[in-house]
Amino acid sequence: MSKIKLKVNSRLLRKKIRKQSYLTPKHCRFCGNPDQEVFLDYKNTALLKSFLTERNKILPSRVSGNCFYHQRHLSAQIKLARSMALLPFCAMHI
Amino acid sequence: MSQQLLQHYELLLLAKTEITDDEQSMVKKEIENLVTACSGTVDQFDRWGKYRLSYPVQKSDYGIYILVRYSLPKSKAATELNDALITLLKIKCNDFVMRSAIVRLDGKPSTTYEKPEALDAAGRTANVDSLIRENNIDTLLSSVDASIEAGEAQRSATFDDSDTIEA
Repeated sequence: MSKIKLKVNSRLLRKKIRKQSYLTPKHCRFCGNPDQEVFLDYKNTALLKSFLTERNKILPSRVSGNCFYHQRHLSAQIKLARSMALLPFCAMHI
Repeated sequence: MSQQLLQHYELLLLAKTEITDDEQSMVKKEIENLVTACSGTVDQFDRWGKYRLSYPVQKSDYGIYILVRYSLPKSKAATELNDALITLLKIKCNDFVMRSAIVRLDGKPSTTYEKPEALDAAGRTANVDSLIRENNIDTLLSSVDASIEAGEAQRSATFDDSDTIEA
């Protein structure tokens, strides 16, 4: 039995609906919180470390839930902290 | 009469652990001279202390961080001052300064800021008891001790053939 192929628009729409069904809406923890934004500093290694993976790579915003503005700010601070030896660049080899 | 806007800057130094008090005061004096020459003021001079670095810098695993905050009115002298500071640190203080970073701060920064904990911080001791207390594993240890004691008591009290495995 031959399948009826839908038009491109409907296929893409169905795909989008399917994807939305299992993705939870992410919200940025920095947006709208001025006191959290104050902590977004290259000296604050405790907070910045929570945005790094095990191998000390920066987490993408789709995982951490940050908005574009704060993710950019965060990665700039992480890179500055890395250059000042406050955070590591990569996983350490024993 | 409108006042000129003050711009706040921050300079973080990474110095070697062998830095002497003379060298530290020399750096402080030089920075103060440069900043006041551009009609600015040094707000803070904080020595954080000895830290373990994330990766070896100039073949050493430890370093001393020094944070300097200064402000000066918004003018062309600001860029010249920052350049002069960088040249000072690279040329004159080349022996003991490993890394440095100058950051411009938005608005008026608060005097307190978050920073990682130093190795030679006041309340930090390097023995097992403090480590246990810090990480709250004393309950685990006490339970282990208690079970060992209970096991010993049980073994000594009921040492007879009834403990053998029944076929």
